[in-house]
Amino acid sequence: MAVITAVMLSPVVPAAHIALIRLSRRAGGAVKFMMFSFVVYALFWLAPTLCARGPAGGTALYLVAGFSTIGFLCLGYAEAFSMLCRGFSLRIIMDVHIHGPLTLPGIIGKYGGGMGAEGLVMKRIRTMEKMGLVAMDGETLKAKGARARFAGRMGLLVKNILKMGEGG
Amino acid sequence: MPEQIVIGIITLFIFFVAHLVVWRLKSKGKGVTLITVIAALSYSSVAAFYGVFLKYKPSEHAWVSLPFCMFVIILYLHFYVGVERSVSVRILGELVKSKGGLTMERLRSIYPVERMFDHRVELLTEKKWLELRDGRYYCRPKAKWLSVLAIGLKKAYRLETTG
Repeated sequence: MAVITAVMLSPVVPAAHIALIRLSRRAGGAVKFMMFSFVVYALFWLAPTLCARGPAGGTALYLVAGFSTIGFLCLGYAEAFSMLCRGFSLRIIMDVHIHGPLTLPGIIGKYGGGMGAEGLVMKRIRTMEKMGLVAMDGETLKAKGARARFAGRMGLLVKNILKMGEGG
Repeated sequence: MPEQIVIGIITLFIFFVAHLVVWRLKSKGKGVTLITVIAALSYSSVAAFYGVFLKYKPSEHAWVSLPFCMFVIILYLHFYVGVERSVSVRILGELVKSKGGLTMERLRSIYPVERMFDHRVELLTEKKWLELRDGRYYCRPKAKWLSVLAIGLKKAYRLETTG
């Protein structure tokens, strides 16, 4: 029952997410709204559960099953949304569909509404700058702070352990 | 600890060990699909063991053990895909390796993004999303459908520049 209810309530996530984005006058903030819609979804599931089973929330297993399903569906949704926002292959397909047929240099030049390969890297660097992970020191780009160094080292370590190549 | 959770933990342990062994031994064909197959096989084998030897039917525990495993595995997949494909993680890795940081020119020479395009377009052609004719790439029907869907979703979410 916990799983079925969580699955049946899952359309709350895209509905709340789209509604919040469209109600907001500010551009951006899609990721924050997505997180908020996850909370709304969890509360939608939790409220009837608590009402039906009392403040003890029924059995712990019921909560584990429900929250695991919610977590699974939310992460699946986050992955799909991230693919829509930043998906490299999807963007190439869209560019070929909109501007195509294209040659390989044409695909590179048209990428992301004309931002090209350079734009792809700069967009990531700007985001990391905003997050305080990197900083430009004159002409040099540097990792900033322990969090950035940890993320960089962790990436290298995992790629090494799983023999994933350089990645990216 | 409830048996349903124990089944989940055993499955996850088997999954991570199998994933590590396969990834260390295999040089090609390592991807999300194979991880999903390993996860499904790990869960099925543990459920079968419990069903046959301990007479604990999947119908009695799957409602907890299955979502629990699926949640942890998708969490791991997020981490895995992030490490494998993220341009940002790759840049941070290169910066950490360089110690003193990198100029944009140096970064471009270490990490030529154009090569990433070559590789991805080749892969999209191989997987029959794109078609190469007379030096030009065309969308196959399934790619056109996906593109139309993505354009619609971009409008619904009011997303500007994607990719």
